This record gives sequence, structure tokens and C-alpha cells, in this order.
Amino acid sequence: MKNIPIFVVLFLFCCAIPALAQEGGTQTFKDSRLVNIQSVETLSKRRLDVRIGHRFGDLLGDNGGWSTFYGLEQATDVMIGAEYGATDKLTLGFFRTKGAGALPDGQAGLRQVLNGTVKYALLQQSKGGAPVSLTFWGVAAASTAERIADNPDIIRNFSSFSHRMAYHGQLMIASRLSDRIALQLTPGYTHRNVVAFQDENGLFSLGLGTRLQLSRVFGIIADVTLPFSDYRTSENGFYPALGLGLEIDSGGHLFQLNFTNATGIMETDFIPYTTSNWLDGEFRFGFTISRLFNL
Amino acid sequence: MKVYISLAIMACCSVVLYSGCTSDKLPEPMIAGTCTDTIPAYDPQIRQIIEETCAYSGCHLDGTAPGVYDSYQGLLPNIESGALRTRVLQLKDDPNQGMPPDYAPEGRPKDLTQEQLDLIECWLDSGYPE
Repeated sequence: MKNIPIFVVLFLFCCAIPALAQEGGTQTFKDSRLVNIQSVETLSKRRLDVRIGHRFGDLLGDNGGWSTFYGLEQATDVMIGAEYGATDKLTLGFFRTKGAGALPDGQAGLRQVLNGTVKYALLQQSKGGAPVSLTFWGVAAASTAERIADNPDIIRNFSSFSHRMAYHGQLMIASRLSDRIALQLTPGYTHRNVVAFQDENGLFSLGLGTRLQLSRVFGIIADVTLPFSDYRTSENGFYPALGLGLEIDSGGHLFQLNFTNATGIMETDFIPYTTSNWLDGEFRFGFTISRLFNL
Repeated sequence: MKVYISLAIMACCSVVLYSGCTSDKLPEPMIAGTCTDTIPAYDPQIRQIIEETCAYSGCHLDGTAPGVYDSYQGLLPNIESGALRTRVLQLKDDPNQGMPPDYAPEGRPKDLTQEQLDLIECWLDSGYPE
């Protein structure tokens, strides 16, 4: 029951904002995602965005190097799915991810995950209007992995259906500071229905993201997500998810080449479960391909 | 009007999501009697043993022997069926049934060390964490 105030606050906040929204705003980012985190961008009405995301294995460190050809022989996480612009402000999505997160002791998070997403643009930055864009994004994740019934000590025991579920909701506050630079702040809340005995079900986090336009085709993107938790410290084997990438807009297609220490792609995965450390070489190469269709 | 429809959809979604929420914790895992210290995980401890002694070309990697042991998921069916425990621990002294077998290729181990056997037994008894 202690989660009620969070939902009420989020709901009331969402109710209040549409009245402030203005038409004809500024595009803040080129894509709906930065490296790890979502961006404020929604799809135009009747546009379909088909996306494939991939994260390879550790580039260096104990599990990387020549023996795995610097991680290219491993698929840590794979995402495939699509988003659709129901209206200019509302984007609905459905994605399947492999799932990759695990606690430092090896306790795995959700695997073989179906993710339903909803994104709603509450406010858009515009000249003479709002100084920032504001968008809500939420995901409900459900694991379709087979149950391991004879082991009550692991998440995959799935003693009730709700244990297959995890949720994440976030507000994204972004501003295009100039023609070349955009910044975004992302407070979020992640809830997992079942966690290991020493873990916590609810987790607040703050994401920071930026994009630097280099030319008409190329842009640099970067983001970091910091969970607020006494348990998630580097002493306990957790690290902030930090991503750095190059965005290539070929017109119609958008390619993203990135490096990140996060293993999972979805927020319900990489926020609670990033246990890889950049300084130990535990970061990986990844890419995202996005193709837009007009329906 | 559209604003009210959007708000109604969001309210419905909030109710559905909240009704599916629980805040459960798993029980604290018991350290099995076969473990001497901490519970090993598949990655990296068990994976290293598997890659060295089972998952190589001509054995449990390319379909020559049953199971493709290149991941936790690949190993899982033979853990759950009990085959891994039987062939690696219980039949370890059998030259053909015990794994790894005595006909393992040159350069590959024909037996696991006692330390490796203890680690696998502890891992299986502790619920084979990933």
C-alpha cells in the first residue's frame, strides 16, 4: 500500500500539465532514445518506428578480450519491437528483450521479457513558450521465461504470476539549449514485484542525458543513470549505467553505435542490475537501428 | 475532449498496473551443507569449468554430444533433468558415462579436480544461481 502516494502524485501531475502544453514546439533530440535512457521525443501521428537494439559482451576485463573477440561473440541483450504514434503526443510501443541483468552474487533478473510502453508528451519547448519539453514514459515488463519450480530461492521460481512483472515510470525534462546542444533530466521510479532477500522492490533514480550535434548527419549522445539506494553502492558491486554513443542519421534510418557498461536494454533491467564497471573494462559495444514508416 | 480521453486511459492504466503490484522478497538462501564458503554462480565460476571441460568443438558445443553448453540457458535442461548431477558427480568414476569421459581429446581434462567437483555440487545444491 505504500506505493499509493507515488501513483497518486504521478497521476495528478500528469493531469495538471496538458493545460500548459503548446503546439508547434522545438524538436529536442533526433531519436526517442539516447544510449540507455529514453528521450522526450514522441512519434508523429500514424508513424511507426521499428527498432532493433543489441548489446555485445564485455569489451575487456575478465570476460572480454581476444577470447570473445572483444565481446562480439556474445549477445548480452537483444531488443526488437516497434512504437506507434497513436496521436502526436501519445506513442505506444511493444518490445521483446532477452533480459540480461543480474545481482553481483549471480541472482538473475527477468529473462525473455515482453515490454509494453507508453509515452505521452505533456509539454513541448517552443519559442516564446515553454522553456522545456516534458514527457512521461512508462513500461510494464513481463517475463515469459519457463518457471523453475523446484528452487524457491531464485526469481525464476515465479511462485505467482505477478513475480514475472516489473514496472518503470519516469518524467523527462529536456531543453534544447542551442542548435547543437540538448540536455535532459530524468527522474524515475522502478518497481519489481519480487526481489532477492537483501534487495528493495522500489527504486528511485535520476538520469542525465545530452546530445551534441556535430553535423547534419552525426551527433554525439551520452547519458548516465544514478539509482538512489543504500544497497546499490560500488562496495556492493553496483555501478551507475553510463553510455556514450554516435548517432548517424541517414534519412529514414537512424543508426546508433554505442558503448555502455549496462548489460540490459530496458529500464527495468539496467537501472536495478548494472553491476559492470567501466574502469574494469566491463563495457560493451552496442547498436540500435531505427526505421520509420508512415502508415 | 481528447485531454479527458487521454486522462481516462491513463487512469485505467494506473489502476491496472497498481493492481498487479506486489512487494515480495525471496527467502534468504540457505548455504548448502556441501558448500564451504559462499555460493558460486554460473558466471563466472561454473562457466569457466564448463568451457574448459565440456563446451568445446566435438563435445557439448556443436551438437556432437547432447546439449549446447555455451550459456546458462543451454545448460539448464540437463540441470533440471538431473543429467548433469548424475553424469558429473554420481558417475564420475565411470570411464564412459562419467563426465568428462576418459575418451576426451588430447589437451582436454578427463577428470574434474576435487575442487571443481565440490564447486559444482555446492552450486547445484544451492539452486544453480545464474
